[in-house]
Amino acid sequence: MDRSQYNNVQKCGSPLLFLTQEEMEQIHSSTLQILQEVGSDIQHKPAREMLEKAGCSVKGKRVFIPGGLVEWATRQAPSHIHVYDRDGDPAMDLGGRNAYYGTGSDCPTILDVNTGEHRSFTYKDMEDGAKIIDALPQLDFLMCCGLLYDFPSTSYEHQYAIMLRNSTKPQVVTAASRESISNITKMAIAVRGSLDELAKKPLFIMYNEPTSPLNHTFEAVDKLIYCAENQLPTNYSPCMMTGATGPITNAGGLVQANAECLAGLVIHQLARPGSPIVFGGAMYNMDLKCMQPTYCSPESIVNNIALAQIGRDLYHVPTWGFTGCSGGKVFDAQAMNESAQYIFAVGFAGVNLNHDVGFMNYGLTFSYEMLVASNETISQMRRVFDGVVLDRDHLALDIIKSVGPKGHYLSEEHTLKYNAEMWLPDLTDRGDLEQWQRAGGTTFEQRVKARTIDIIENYTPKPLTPEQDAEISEILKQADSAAEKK
Amino acid sequence: MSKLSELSAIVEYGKLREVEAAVEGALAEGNAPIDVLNIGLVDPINVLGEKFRLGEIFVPELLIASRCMKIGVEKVRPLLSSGDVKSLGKVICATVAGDMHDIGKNLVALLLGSAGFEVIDIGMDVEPESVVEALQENTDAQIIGLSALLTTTMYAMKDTIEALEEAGLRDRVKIMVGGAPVNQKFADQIGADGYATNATSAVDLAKKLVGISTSRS
Repeated sequence: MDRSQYNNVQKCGSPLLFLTQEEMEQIHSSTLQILQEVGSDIQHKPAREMLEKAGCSVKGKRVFIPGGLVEWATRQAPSHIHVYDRDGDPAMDLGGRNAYYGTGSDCPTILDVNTGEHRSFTYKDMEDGAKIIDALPQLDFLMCCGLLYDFPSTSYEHQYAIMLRNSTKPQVVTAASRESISNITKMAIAVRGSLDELAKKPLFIMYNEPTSPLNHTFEAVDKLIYCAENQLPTNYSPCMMTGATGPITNAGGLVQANAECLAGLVIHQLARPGSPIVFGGAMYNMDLKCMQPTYCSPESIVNNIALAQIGRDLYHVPTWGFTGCSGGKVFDAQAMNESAQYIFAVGFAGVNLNHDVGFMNYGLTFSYEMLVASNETISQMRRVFDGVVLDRDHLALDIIKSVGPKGHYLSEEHTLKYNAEMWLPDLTDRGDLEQWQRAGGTTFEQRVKARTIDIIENYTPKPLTPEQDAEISEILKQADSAAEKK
Repeated sequence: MSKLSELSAIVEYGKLREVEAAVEGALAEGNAPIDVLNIGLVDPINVLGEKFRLGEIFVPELLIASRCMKIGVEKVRPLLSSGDVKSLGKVICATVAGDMHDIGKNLVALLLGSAGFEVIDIGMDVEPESVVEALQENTDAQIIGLSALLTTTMYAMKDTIEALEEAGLRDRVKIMVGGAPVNQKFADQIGADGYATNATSAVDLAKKLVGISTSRS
C-alpha cells in the first residue's frame, strides 16, 4: 500500500491564478449580459414560473435573468460544504483552496487489467472499482467509474448500492431523474438514519449538468430543485466542447459556461435559498480534425481552473474540477503524462472537488491501472503543495553548524527525524540499475498492473451492517419492481 | 526485560544518549563484558544491516545505531581482553586526488564500519603518496577503497595504484574502486581487484576480498 503520509489538501505558497480581479469582473459582466439579453432555455415549467415570479422575463421556454437576481443568488450559496464518510466522520471541507481527488463515472468500457482489451463493465468490475478507490489513500471520494447495462431503468440505483457497499468514502452520484436521485437518497438514509441527519452530514454530492449551449433539461433542473428542497449538495457542471457547443476561445468558453452555471445557481437558490452547491465545469475543445472532445487539452485545463477561480474568488462558493484523465487508449506514457499534468494543475490551483481520475479515451474508457498509478501522482503532488516548512528545527542552523564544511549528514539524528517527513515512493522505482535489475527489472506499468490485481484479489472493504445492507437490498427491489410496472 | 536486551534495543533504536548508562546497567547485572559487546552492541547492528540490505530501513537508522555501538564499545573496551573486539578487516578509504566529492566514499566507509570492518577514512582529494603513507602506517590493512565522481579524476585511481606498485606495496592489499563514472571494465584496465556499483555491494565486495562469504549470491 501507499506508505506516504501526505494527505495535504491545503494549498500553500503563491496561488495559481489565471485572472486578475478586473478580468473576473469582465467575465462576470459579460455573463450577465448573455443571461439578460440572450437568455437561457429552461425545459421545466415550474422552474420557469418560479423564475418569472422572481423578476425574470419569460418568452416560451426562454428565460431572461436580470443581473441583480444573479448576484442575489451568488450571495445566498454557502462558501463551504462539509462532506462526511459512510461512518459519519468528516471527509472533505469543500471550499477555499482545499483540493480533493476522485474518479469519474459512467464510462461505457473498461480497459481490462488482465487482457488489455476494451470491453463493457461487468457487475464485478463495478465492485472492483469501488474497492480500489477505497484502498487508495489519496483518493478522497468515488464516482462509479463504469456504466452498468444489466439494469436498464435502475442502473444508477445499482451503481450507488455498489459504491455504498464497497467503500466508506463519500460519493459523487449520477442519477437519471428525480425518482432515481430519491432512491439513491433513500439508500444514503439507510446509512445515516434520517434525511435530516443526511442533510447535516452529507454522504454524497449529486452530479448534475446543463446542456451547452445555454440549455437546461427538465431532468437536470428537476434534480437541482430536488437537491435544494432536501438540502443535499449538488454541482451543476457544463461539459462544453468549445468550437462545437461553445465558443472556441478560452474567454468565450468561460463566459458561456459561467452563464450556464449561474442560471442553474439562480434556480437552485430560488428553490431554497442557502442550499449547498458546487460551482464550475469543463470547457474542453473539440479536436476539429478527429471530432473528439479533448478533455485534458491545455486549453481545457486553463478553462477549468479559471472558472473555479471565479467561483472561489468572485462568488465565494466551493468549486468543481476535472483531473487525472487522458485521451490515451491504453495505459501508457501519454495516459500518465496527461493525467499527471491535470492532477498537478488543479491541486496547485486549489480547485476543490476534482473528478475523473482514471478516465481514458475522452471518458469512454476507464482504466483501473491509471487510477492506481494516479494515486501515486496525487501523493507526490500533495508533497509538492506542502512547500517549505520554516521553523527553527527545519531551518537546521544548529545541525549545519555542527556538521560543518566537508562533513556529512548521513549519521545525524536530525536526518533521521525529518526523513519521516519525506515523500516515499511506492510504485516509483528509485534503485540503481543493479538494484532495479535484481528486483526483477520491471517497468512502472508492470508494477502498477501487479498492484491493481493485488488490490482486486486481496482487498476487503469495511462492510455495511447486515441491517443497512438488507435495507439497501429492499430499496433496490422496490425500485426494480416500480421500473417493471412502467 | 534483561538489561542486556534493553541495551540491544537502545542500540537498535539509535538512542545515543542512553547507551552509556545501558552498558553500565548490563554490566552491573552481571553480564560478561564479551556478552555486552556481542549480544548488546554488535548483534543489533547485524540485524539492522540485514534490514537495510532488504530495503526495510533507512540508512540513518543503521548509521545512528552504529554510532550507539561505537559509544558502547568505548565504554566496554577497557574490560575486554585484546582479542575480544574482532574486526572483519581493516579498510583504508579515500576519494582520489583532484576530487572533492566524498559522499559516496563516506557512505561506503560508514556501511563498512557498521558491517564490522575497521575503517581508516583518509578523506577527499587524496594524493597517491598519501595513500601509500596510510598503508605504511596501517600495515595490517587488507583493503584500499578508492572513489571518484568525475571522469577527469577517475584516472587518479590508476596513478594511486601505480604509486602503490612503485612502493612495492601493491601485493599486500586488495584494491576496490567505485564512483559514478567507474565501471568493471575500467577497474580491470587499471588493475583493481574489484568494483562495486553501490555502497551495499561495496560491503559485499569487501567481505569477498577478505574471504568472508556473504548471504547474497
